[in-house]
Amino acid sequence: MNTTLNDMQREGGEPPLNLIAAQYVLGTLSASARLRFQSRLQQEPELRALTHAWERRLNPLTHLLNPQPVPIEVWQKIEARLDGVNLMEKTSTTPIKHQPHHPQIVSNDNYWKPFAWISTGIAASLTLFLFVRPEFSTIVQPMVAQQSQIMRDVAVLSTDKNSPAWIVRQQGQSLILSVLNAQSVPSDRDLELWSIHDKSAPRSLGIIHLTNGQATISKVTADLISKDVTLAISLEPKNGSPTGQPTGAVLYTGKIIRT
Amino acid sequence: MFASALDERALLLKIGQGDRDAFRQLYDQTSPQLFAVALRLLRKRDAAEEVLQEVFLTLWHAADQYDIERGSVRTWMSTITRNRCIDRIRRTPLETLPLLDDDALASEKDDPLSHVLDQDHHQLLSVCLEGLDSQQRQCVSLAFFDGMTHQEVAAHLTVPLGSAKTWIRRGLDFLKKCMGAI
Repeated sequence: MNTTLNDMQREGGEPPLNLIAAQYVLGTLSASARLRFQSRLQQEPELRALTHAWERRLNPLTHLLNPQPVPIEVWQKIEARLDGVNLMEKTSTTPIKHQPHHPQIVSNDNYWKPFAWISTGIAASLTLFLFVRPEFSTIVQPMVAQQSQIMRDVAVLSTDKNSPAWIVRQQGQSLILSVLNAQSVPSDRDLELWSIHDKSAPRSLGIIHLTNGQATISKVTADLISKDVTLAISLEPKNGSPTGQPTGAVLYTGKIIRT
Repeated sequence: MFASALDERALLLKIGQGDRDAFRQLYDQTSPQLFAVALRLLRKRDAAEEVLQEVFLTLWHAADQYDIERGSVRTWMSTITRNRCIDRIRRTPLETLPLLDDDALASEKDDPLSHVLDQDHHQLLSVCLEGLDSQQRQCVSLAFFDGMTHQEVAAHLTVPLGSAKTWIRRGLDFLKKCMGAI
């Protein structure tokens, strides 16, 4: 990673991948070069990784701009579009002319075709649109080479008052727990993390040893954090439950959101 | 600062489950910043408002696809916003539009870094930006914030295209080395 952009110049005059990735994120590529790059992004994991590194480097620059007040209509339009999509998803057979969100189009027969497309295809096209966008393609396509390094959010554990207290992320076979807003633990107690699946007995994932607000639980097998699992944290005696089952109060719970 | 980045991750997870309140909260927290990005790049309010709508609709439907590889939630949202804007302005060249006034520009006087998140190495970025020479910084800024291509940067500064390209490449190279492997 110490190679400079100049050092990476390849023979034959083609710009090095890292330079193209940097220019893509910076935004200097021409329209056609940008399109070519976006199509390559979907197929080349190495290019995606370089691009993401440049996104992490450069895009925080946007925080240097002074926030600008957003007109209230923007949120109203977003809500209307969401409700419109939801409505169509639920009532896809509803005649188009009864849709309330595009009256100006409905009243004009010339707009029938595009509107028919909008009304019948909006959910599908929006989905397609999302998935073909380069920024999402990386997630849709497996990144085998980097799988072990990727850290994914898998759950939020909340108190019984539904207040988020922990974020749980997965990296390989480890879970990384980060404290958002958890109460302190008495010195003679420990927090223990559990995996609960259906009506099976809870299985311990380990004791939570916090360092700087984070704890790592290692050797977590996939079945312990599969989709139907609820994670829970209980307050236990020092060094964990003596029985192998939760003995103290369950302080935080949350469902696995994705695996 | 760390907590606020995680808070936004928590909001995103809730949004992935269809939580409209969380969606509204993340909108309130992030939309003014993203609007500034879009306004500056697109130079037209109506276009910036449209992009902002697209970005948040995207977010609503793709919240569960967030990947930490893309940086913090805020950075990811900035990436989506910038990509949308740049795609647009490449379709409609900028030359007919004036640069936006200074009110939406970076202001270093009021400590713009005070509200940003540490996990994206903003302090480091800030230090590294200081290390760019003035030509490099100006070129990088015109490209990044104003959406200019190499040709447009060269024309704006009335310098040869080769000079603009070189300054940009050296600026990027310096930033990469200065920031290390993040």
